[in-house]
Amino acid sequence: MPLFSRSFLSFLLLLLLPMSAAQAQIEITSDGGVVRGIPTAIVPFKIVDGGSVEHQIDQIVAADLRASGKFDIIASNNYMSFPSRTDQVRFKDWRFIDAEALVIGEIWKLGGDNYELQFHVFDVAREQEIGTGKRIPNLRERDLRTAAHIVSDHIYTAFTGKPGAFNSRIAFMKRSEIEFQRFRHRLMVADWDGYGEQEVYASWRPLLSPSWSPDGSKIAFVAFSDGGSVIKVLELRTGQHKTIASFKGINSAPAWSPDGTQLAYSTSKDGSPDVYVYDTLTGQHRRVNTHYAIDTEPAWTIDGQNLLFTSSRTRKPQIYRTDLNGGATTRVTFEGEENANASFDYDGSRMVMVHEGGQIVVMDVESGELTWLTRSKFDESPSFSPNGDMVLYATEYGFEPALVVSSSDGRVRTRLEFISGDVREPAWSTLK
Amino acid sequence: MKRNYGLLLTVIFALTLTACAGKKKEAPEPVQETAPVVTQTNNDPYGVGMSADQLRALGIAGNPLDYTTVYFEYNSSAIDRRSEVIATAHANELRRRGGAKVKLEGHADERGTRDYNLALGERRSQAVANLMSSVGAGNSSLQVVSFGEERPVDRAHNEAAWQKNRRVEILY
Repeated sequence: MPLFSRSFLSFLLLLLLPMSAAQAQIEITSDGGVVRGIPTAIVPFKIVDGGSVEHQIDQIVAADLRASGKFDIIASNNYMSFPSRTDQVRFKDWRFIDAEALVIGEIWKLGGDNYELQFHVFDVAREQEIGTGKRIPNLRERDLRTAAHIVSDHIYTAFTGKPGAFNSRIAFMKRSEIEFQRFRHRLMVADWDGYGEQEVYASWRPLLSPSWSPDGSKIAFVAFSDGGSVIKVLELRTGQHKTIASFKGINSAPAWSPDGTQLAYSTSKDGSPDVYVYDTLTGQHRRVNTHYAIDTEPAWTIDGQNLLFTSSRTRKPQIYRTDLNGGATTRVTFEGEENANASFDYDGSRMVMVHEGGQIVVMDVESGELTWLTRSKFDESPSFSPNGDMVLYATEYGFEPALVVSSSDGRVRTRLEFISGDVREPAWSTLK
Repeated sequence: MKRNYGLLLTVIFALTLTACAGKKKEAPEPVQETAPVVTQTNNDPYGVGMSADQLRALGIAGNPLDYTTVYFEYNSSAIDRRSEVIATAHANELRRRGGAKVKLEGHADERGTRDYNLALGERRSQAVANLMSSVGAGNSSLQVVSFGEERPVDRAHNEAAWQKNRRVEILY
């Protein structure tokens, strides 16, 4: 089932051509001081027995690694040689341009729509290969992009010891004006870098707050019915969806529990917006807190025993934490007048949230120290990549809405160039 | 209940009229045969307890019933004097019509997170609903809805736009 017609694909490719220059949209911010990534050379993969392929493996891998903030990519016009096999590698060529990591590879065209990808990763200083060469067989041409992300994950793990996030997916909302002042709101999913966006749900009314189930099979989100906002759960494989909360008042901000059996959300069914938990196994709704202030945007701790939430109990929104087993509610954020929409990374050591109404900050949970990813006024909807090294959020470039991935140290920002239009509310899947 | 209100209003109206008449007598104005301009002597032309001049001071020109949008401060659902007058006029109108349905649609500006603003929009429409029912509109005919920041009237990123977007729309 091809995502795009061939003519559209070639149109997309035309768009892509000047985009090697557009990749310069990646900003290296200077906030990180002397901290830098591993200088990495990625040699364009040699295509054996066949002219060209539609996906440039080396460029996809370079964009992946660069976005993580852990790698600085050396441009190929500096390279002194272009090896594709192990016996062609001369380490002095790479030491000369100060590369510490080297990636080479070949794409074998095996006839018909059958490809195989091979690659090797080297530690230049030690003059040795890291692990052994890898083969990814049985690829169709359109799988090459996914294969490139597998290469990226492999390199990432080799140098950081952590799993890569380059095969994870993102969801976001897109609004299109179908006719004058008549808008179609669409829930989209795409690769982590925004490639291959696909509509999975659509409505004539606003959509917001997508949340991936931990196994990546479902997305909970907020839609509007005649009576106001409701929470829906969409099964991605079948396209089936059902409404799980449509109480009188607002129903919003769904968040899956780490084990995927419960959904925390906010509803005002009993007067003022409070946090509730819906059990997908029993169908029961349980109230978590009771306060006359606005309590919303729940997020689970990784043990599933506590919830973070945004509350206006001190008038301006701040982050609080409550024990689901009847324990205390404590305030978590104290720096700044406003903090909202917090969520944890994969091991619970850091939170990302919206600070002062529109700056994206990462907070170290133990020390409370903040790292600013942006100092804008209108950035929102931050979520960590599955390995915690990147943060996806919504912003505006000029007057154009955009989705951006920042390394979680704030050093590198990558605008997701494949995605355009009136986009908002991005969410990174938890699936690796 | 309804009758009491009507009676009360009639009394107030009568009192204000006589008060005006009293003032008129004090003024050295011998010409009695020209008909007085009614609106000038009417201290409560629209049944909200304010004269046209007082309404104008709040930015309301003419009948407050012609206004269907009320505005709010940032991160606030407090009803100001203007909103109170407009909401009261609509409450009176609802009572007069006896059981008309009204939708109170709450909105927020783009600042702050979307889910928070969804809650804030509801707070605002709830505040208007509370006021309208407290002056006798009858809660059953008021539907409270929030669209948060999803439906701004002005998409610009400045205070002028935000002011227009922080609103409750009274929709018949």
